[in-house]
Amino acid sequence: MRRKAQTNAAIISLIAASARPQKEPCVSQNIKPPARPPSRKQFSVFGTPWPLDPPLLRIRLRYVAARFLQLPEPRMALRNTEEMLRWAQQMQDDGMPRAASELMRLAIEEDPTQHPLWLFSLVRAYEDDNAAEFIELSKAFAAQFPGDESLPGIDLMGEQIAGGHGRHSTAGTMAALKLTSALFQRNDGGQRSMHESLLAAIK
Amino acid sequence: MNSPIKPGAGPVSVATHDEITTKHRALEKNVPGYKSGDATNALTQALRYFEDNTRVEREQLLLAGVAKSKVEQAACIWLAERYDHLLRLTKEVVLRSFLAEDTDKSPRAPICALAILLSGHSIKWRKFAGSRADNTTREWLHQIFRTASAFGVDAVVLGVRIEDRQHDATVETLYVRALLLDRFSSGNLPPTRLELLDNWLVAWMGSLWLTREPVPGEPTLGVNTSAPQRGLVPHLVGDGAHLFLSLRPMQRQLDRSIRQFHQGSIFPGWGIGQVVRMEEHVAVIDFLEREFTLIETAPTQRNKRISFGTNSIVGVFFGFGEICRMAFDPERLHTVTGGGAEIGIRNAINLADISEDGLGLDMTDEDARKVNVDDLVAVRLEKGRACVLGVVVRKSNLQRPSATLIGVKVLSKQPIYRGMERVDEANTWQPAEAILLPGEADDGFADSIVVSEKTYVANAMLAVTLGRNNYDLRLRRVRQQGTGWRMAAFDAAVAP
Repeated sequence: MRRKAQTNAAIISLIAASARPQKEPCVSQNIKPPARPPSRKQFSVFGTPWPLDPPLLRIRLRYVAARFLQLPEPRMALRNTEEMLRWAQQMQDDGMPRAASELMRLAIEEDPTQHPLWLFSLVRAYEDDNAAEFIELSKAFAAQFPGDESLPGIDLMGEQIAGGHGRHSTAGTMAALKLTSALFQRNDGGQRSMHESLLAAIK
Repeated sequence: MNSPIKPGAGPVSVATHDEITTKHRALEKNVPGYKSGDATNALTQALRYFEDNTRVEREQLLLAGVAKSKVEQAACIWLAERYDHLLRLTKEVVLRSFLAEDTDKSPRAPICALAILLSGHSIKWRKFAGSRADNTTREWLHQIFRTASAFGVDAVVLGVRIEDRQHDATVETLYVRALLLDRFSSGNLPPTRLELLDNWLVAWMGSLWLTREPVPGEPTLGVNTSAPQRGLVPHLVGDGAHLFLSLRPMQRQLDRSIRQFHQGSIFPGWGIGQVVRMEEHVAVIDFLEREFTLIETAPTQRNKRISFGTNSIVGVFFGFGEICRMAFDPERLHTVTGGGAEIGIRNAINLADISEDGLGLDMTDEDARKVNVDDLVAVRLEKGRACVLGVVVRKSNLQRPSATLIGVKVLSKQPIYRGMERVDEANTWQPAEAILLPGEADDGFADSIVVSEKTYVANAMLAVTLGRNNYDLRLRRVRQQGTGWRMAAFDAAVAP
């Protein structure tokens, strides 16, 4: 019980840290034109083989363009953190959580410095109670952002999910909602008010 | 199929259909005289000979898609018949191999595996040929699997040749592959995609294991091997299933396959997938994700089903403009008079059937020709009730002459029409019409808006009044679209 309370407190502090107003808002970090040279690493940030050969890279890009029709120039689009977050959340709203997670993974592989995408993916894995995905993400996140202030909270979330207490934790779900709202800069109040007005109009 | 029509992919001289049929007929005469071990070898060789000699032809037929010439159609039917024929011969040997007088027990597992493998091929090729599914296939599958389980040969690992590749498989994994093919082939997957899906199932066979208990809290498919008409269906408590296939391993396999594409390789690296467009692979992924969602939500959907009266006349309105103009008109609320005058459709349309998320309209062929897939429709089911908004998803012939069934997917049962104003970049306000569709999520992010094709511009702003509040809506991603209309997500803010 005490351990769970500690975990929840840690999650809330993690979310609070992530949601805290920052000098440079996380979503605007990456509006830069994404014209970096392609990665020369042999492996992606998740340790999976990275398609360095042009024919392999072409298959990857053709796949991304076909799977996510709104990405006409995949490499550029995948580096646009703000757009990626918006699309992922919309896919989530449209009942396509698997596609949303996949898009996040592709974007992270393309540019691992996109900190908000990592947090989004971690929250998704946590809420889906997907321990394997969460552990893989959290390890890669720790390697990518050593000393990040979110890490202690992520570790505790990992312990909770590994212990089978994942998405059933109200605190965790609430925290995830807060985090996603903070990430997307969405107007939760306005959207909810509109929804309530629609329901009232039906009656 | 590992030969994307390249030189040297198949035998230099390919046997004709007649030669293959003659060989099969000779086999039919000889097999009863063979011991079960010899019969198993002979049938395995016959399948190999048949597949080697028809590989290129089968691949070409699959790539021809659904629009086949008469010759191609005849070839598909012949191929389906050949698989059926081999299956029939194999079933006879299966029965013999388990009889007490047959002292050689070694061919039991291989012959069961061959029979189940052929059942899978037969299901698939019947679908490609457009033939009616064989009602006895499931019963046979269950019977062979029950027998193999009873004699303890269901988990024997065998090297099974599928097309020109060797795969490790058991009777159980082949049984699951056949049942899944049976389930998936009843949908609307075109031949190329069904073949792709089969290749994936073959590659995933190592994880397709049945359990005797459902995994608690996990979406699961169940099978009752004593129920001849039932295959793998979403498991509900008390449905009589006694073997279970958890969805999670399949989802993990799908994730693994998707990662292969991320790494620049085409999964599984052999078969027809090497020569088809990337969109075909993506369509299979979409199909599986939809299937998985259906399986996951099956227990709740079952509870939500509502029955309506059928064969009643309903009022139907066609197209975004007519719907905005007439479907929400209070004067029409207490009639079931529909629209359709503009496109020349008569008013009275029969409701053929209805479920929670779809309905069928029974129309004359003449009227149905004027309706297209992806058309927006509004249907007033009863006098005094709001229209249901939907989109035409399919047209199919009814058994009656000159009648067509128009399948409609319901987008919303409670659409709300509102006049709005579109605010453009120069801050000019123009009137616009829209239909608002409340979603199921309480946070409102699943709500949608339907606007005309002309009105929709990504990120455009619309101003609307609802009750006492004014809202600014920002149009976002298109969720669905058809001729003349777009259904999009939106972000709402209370206007200052």
